[in-house]
Amino acid sequence: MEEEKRGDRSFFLEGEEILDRLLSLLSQWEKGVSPSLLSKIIEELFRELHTLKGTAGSHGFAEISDLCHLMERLIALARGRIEALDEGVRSLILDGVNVLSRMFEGASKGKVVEEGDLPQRISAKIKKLKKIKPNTSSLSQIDERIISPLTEGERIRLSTELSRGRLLFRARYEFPQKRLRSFLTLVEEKVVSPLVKIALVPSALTGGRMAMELFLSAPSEYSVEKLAKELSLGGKAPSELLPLIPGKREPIFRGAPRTIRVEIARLDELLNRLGELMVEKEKLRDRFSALIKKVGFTQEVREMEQVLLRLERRVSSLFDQMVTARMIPISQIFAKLKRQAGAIASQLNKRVEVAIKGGETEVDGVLIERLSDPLIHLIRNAIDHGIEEGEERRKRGKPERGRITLSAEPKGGKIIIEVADDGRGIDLAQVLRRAREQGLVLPGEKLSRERTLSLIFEPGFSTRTRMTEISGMGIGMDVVKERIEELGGMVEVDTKKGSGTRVRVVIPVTLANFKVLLSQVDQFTFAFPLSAVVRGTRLNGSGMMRKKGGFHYPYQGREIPVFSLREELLRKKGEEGRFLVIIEEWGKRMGFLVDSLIGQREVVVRPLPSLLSQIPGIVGVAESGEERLALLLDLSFFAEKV
Amino acid sequence: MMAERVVAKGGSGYLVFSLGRDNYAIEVEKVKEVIKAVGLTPLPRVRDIVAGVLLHRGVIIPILDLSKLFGVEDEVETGFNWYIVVKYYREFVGLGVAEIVRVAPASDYRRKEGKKGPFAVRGVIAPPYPEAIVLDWDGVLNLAPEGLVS
Repeated sequence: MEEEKRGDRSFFLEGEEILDRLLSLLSQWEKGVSPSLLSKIIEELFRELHTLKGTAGSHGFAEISDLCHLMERLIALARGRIEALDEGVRSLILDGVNVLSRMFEGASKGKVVEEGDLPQRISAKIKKLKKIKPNTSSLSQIDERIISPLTEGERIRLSTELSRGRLLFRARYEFPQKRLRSFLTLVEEKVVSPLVKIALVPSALTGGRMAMELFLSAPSEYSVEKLAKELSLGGKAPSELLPLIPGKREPIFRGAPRTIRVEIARLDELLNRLGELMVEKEKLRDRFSALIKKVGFTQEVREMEQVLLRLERRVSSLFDQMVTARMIPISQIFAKLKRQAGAIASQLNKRVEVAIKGGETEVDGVLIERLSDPLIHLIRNAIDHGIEEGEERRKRGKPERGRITLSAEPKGGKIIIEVADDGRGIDLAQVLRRAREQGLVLPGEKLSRERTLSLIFEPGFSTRTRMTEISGMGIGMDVVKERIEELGGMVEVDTKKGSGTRVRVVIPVTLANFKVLLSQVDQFTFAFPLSAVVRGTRLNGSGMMRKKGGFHYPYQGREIPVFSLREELLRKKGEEGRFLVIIEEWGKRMGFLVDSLIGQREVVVRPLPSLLSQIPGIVGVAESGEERLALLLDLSFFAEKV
Repeated sequence: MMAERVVAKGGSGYLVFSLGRDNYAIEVEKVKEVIKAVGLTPLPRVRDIVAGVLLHRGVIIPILDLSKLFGVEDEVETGFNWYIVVKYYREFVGLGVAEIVRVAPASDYRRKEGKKGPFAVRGVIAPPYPEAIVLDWDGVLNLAPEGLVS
């Protein structure tokens, strides 16, 4: 049963990736491409759908497999009719991908999603395409360098096969010259109907070896992978298999890629174990320091320190590599969001295009997985509440198709992710009116623009008096904010009535490799993220000022606000700490008074359980090797107060 | 860290523990494990019923001071000796208790409705052993609306 579930999970993961690639190909097509590039796109579309059909069938998802098959038939016909393809075909395939996307989402929840009239529309298009004579592109469109060894007769045969809508390939084999006879026998045995051998072109190699190029044709539904399997002669696959599609000059089959698929949860677990090893390393260093104090710096201790240093370096390097292995380009999640945006827009009968910027930005895979739901919700909101209906957009002088831009940008140890739309924007007057109706704002109470906008993050707040199928799904903006803050991030929103809304999410690059500065206040150990620490200093008794609203300290010609952790978190008055930690967060400098500084540590950070996640100013627990756990400070909580 | 796993097969039985002058019982099915009490990390800005947190098998577990929750702190002299780890939705909560008394068979249970402080009493574990109060633990563990954060 568990195996079955794991298999399904792997199927959904693979399916999502294929759907993402299909969308990416369709998006390239939409931008307008040359016939040769379109041929390549069509070929890739066919290959991806063929794979999806096979895996869906083998996992028992017959409806998905059937739809893939129908779409595959459409694309197979499109292959030979590149010049005749219009926006209608692309749009139909896009609809198919959107329906497949919904079917996948439904299947993952055990629900069946109806295909609507899509199969009928595809079948009608297939009938139409069949009436169009296949494109009999002349061989001159094939790279001359590839077919130059062919005789006139062989060229005519190629041309004839092409005019029949069949695919042309060149397979290359390399083997010792003495095996020529057995090779030719294998060709005769293996290259049989529906494959058609057209020519065999030999060439000599050094060291008693030779190469043989086999030109052949195959039916239009053949994929490169399928052909590669069939052309495996004596257990040996061709060293290169090249489709002779006009414009395609690069071999697209070069054996299995050298990557493996690993669930993020497993990497997470591995990183946790490595993190624990880091903590043990810290403990060992502490004990070693105590040993030196006790026995002195003897020869044995010196030698032991060398071993310890090497161990520390290797463990740290291993940890860093593991963190790097967990990083993925954000384009992976953006592609998924784009696909879901397509499905949502199609459900709402809205036309939306999604632009992606900064997809190469790398971010912790675990973090991005947890960010997925909040981002999907932001996109749902943008399409359902933000993007207007086509008619309304036309009246406002906007393009009929709405635009959502997903962007990511690394900035100083953080990633800034934006979801922006060019819709109607948030009606602040309506927000205020609804907030008053819901009792979130007192009658007559005046709010700033920022405060009014922040009301959308209040639990239970909605400007909708009726719920659509989309807007009523999933989580609210309060939960979006909560989830993002749980990840040590923050969210802010900006809007312009009539022009659109921009939601900005700022998150740390990774949850994993935390270096902290530990400090003590009463019996509590607090951890400052080291990346934010500007300096830690002992106060010499001068400079600190207590003004209305709190402490201030002169630093580099400016007065910076200073928080007393005793007052802020322990709610105690008393003698203030003698040490000041100056940090910078969201571009704001501020200080923290603490009793003592313990030192820098590499720690494993663990989230607080949900029952305690609302503790203000604390974002997690850091396991540092000390007897007690350290409390990781949520610096954004303090930055918001400045 | 020493841990004693309570076997919870068959869906029957109650873990009886002492706190102050009374004994209490919790269904064995709700118990993940019982661990010997160790030092806790205190937290700021939490209600006094949160004794602190504990890192156990890579998970942060909040430990509740049941004596404060039940209002019997004056009766408790020795502090906690054990933490009973129970499942709370998808996470775990530890209950700090003085002593683990025994695992009583389900047949010892007698329905007896009433109240103990703010909590509903579902029944008792009957003599010959000292009587133990079986609270409505869902009610006890459902700490909302006050929550644990002050």
